[in-house]
Amino acid sequence: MEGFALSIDEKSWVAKAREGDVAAFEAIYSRYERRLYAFIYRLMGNSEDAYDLTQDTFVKAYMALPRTSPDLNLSAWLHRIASNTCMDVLRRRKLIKWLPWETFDTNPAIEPAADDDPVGEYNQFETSGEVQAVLDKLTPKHRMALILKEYQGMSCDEIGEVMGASRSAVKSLLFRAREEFRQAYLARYGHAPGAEPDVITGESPSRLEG
Amino acid sequence: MNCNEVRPLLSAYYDGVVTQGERVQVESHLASCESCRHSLAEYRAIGADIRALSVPIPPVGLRRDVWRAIEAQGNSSKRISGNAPARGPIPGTLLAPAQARRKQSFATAFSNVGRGWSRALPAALLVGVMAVVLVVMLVRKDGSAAAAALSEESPITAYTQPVHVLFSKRVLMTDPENHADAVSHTTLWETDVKPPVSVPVSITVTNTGSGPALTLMPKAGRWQPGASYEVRVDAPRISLGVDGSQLDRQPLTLTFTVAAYTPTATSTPTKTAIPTATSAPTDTPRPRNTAVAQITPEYTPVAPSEVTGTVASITPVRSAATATAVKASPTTVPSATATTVPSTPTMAATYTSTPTSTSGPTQTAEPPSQTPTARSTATATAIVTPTHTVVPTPTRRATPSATPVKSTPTPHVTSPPTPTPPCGIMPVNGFGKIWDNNPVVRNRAGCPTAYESAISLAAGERFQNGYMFWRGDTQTIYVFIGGPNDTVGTWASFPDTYRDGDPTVQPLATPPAGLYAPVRGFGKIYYNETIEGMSIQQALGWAVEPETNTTAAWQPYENGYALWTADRVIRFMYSQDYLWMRFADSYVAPTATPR
Repeated sequence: MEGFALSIDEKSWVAKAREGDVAAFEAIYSRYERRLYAFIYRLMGNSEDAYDLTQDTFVKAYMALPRTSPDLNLSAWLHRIASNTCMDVLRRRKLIKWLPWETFDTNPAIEPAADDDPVGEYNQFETSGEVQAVLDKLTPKHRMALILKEYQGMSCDEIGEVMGASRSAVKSLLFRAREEFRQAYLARYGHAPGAEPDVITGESPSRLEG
Repeated sequence: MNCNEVRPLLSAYYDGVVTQGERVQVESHLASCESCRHSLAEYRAIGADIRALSVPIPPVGLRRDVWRAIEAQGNSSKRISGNAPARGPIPGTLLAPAQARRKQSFATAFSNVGRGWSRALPAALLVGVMAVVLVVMLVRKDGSAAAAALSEESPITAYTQPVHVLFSKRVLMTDPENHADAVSHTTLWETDVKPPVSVPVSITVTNTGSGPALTLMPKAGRWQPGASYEVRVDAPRISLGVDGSQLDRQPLTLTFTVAAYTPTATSTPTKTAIPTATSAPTDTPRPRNTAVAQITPEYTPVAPSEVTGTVASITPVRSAATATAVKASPTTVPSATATTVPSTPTMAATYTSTPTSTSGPTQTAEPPSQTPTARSTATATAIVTPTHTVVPTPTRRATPSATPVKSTPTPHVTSPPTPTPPCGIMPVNGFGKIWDNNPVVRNRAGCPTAYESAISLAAGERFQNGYMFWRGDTQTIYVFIGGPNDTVGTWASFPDTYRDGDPTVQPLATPPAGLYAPVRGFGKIYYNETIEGMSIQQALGWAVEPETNTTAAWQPYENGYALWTADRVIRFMYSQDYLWMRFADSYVAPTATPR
């Protein structure tokens, strides 16, 4: 029992949480809180949205859990709820998207942090606020696909499960996303991603891997 | 293939999702096309850029607000906004939104009062009426002849589980014409606010197998964690359907509480809702405690005959345990013995075999300092179907106190007997306190399989999102994933293969100021091991302190372990799903004797 191998049985949590075991849902929450928060943060580009929509995501998950099937893919399911939640908000904001926000050269994702703010300290790693700024410019679906792939480390099949798309649709989505990213990056910084070595050789901070 | 044809494939090629044929095509094109090689490099750079984005840490208030929002869902409340860490007045509880909600529902309170008590009275008068009614209820608090009783044990631990009101007489359940029925004259109130507010409730008539009962559930769909409720049964208005007789001359109040959200307040099977016990409602008023006996056991119930037969054998075991406790740690005595007070007289009424153990002399010694414990209630197994709750319930005023209770210095002693499965080895000290008080822990961990032991050679290190613990005697490292505010998380164990003199693992990145990278054995695990594809490093974040030596106590259980560390934190670790639960060790040792 005391062992080398670790087999955390997510399914048993789901089963217990489905029956109202609050501790099991808490465990699910604990496991996915950071991951979903980071996902939503990168998708929305700011911490206020990340806070609110992570909350919405978990509340929806809690409410919907009893109606799920026993062979639930928890990670994909939670990401799907998060994706839909974010897309709803983005869709609603679409109307104001063309207001001249983009003339501001500040990056909303990187906020000044208080000295005693551990999150801020953590964000000192961020050498490339530019990347988030470019992500923010992408079509939401492209941004989502790219973040799921590169940031959340998902496979194309998993992304398909999250976004409700076929494998080939995901492939083409990723292609278009990369092209759009490339164009946006070029438009903003005047050079292609990777052309400036500083941008990519910074020490990679600890991060979640799928 | 030209570049335009290759480009889409290039992206898939980079993702590794091309067929063998496509791969050959792409690679042969790449060999001759610098532009496409450049594109591929750009795709790589994009990926590297995005992967290099930091992982933001959720603000500390998020977890709490999620729970509040979940709790508020049933009250049509939306998202709990804002991310100020200290928004709520009571961090860690779910009370704040409830207070807001109560304000709004107070307005509806009077209308519901009108429904339940008198439609004609003006609202101002009703306040007075309510006060009088409350006084009457308090007078009636002996409740020994209650005409109605709740079948659920208090506190309610499953928030979505209805409660059931059982009647001692055959009352009219529904009576649309004369409006003299139980459904119309039963109301639900939340009483932990002043003034109490009525709670919209859906009431249905359920056949429990022991006669009809009312099933009550808040319309919100769940109970308010941490709240106190009253079911008010306006007995004078409830007809028995024969010659105008009424259920009772005075209104009845059935009180219960709902566990606040803690790991102790987690679910119990919802199937406990319907009483399954034997005693059907009769015309004789039934002691309140009968209802207690009807709770479906959470533990595998011991067959009644067997239980009865083992009274004698259980008692000596318990006595022995008590005797040990007396010698070892005097303060355990009140918890172990004084709490037998309520069960003993209660049982004397029904059964002749009362414990005659050494607990007698100490029973009146001092008020119990702890809640009723498993030990004390072991004897109760003889008569009462095991129940799942050990938490004291001072609000259960209907508990038969008519039975002469020798010494009832605190409300604790009115708690109903709460049997637990007898264990060959009972948990003691801090472990025992949590195990006794927390049905989830008991359920999950099971019985100890050995006595707790001290670990003198141990080390610990706290992380942004977890804790590492090294057990020197077994050379094992335990990793606990979960932030400083988490009470539940996952754990894993790894053999410590680091030996003094081994090269220290070089950190891949320098920790920010004030944070640390683990070294030695911890570092080896931290950088090399994974939990479900996530590296320990990623899961834990940076250390917030250097590794420190500690002392610890350890106890194996049927389904896990309990770990006490010198920072007075107790972790129960479950082996069935690798969850841990964390508790503050509130146990006060009688002397300075180290654990």
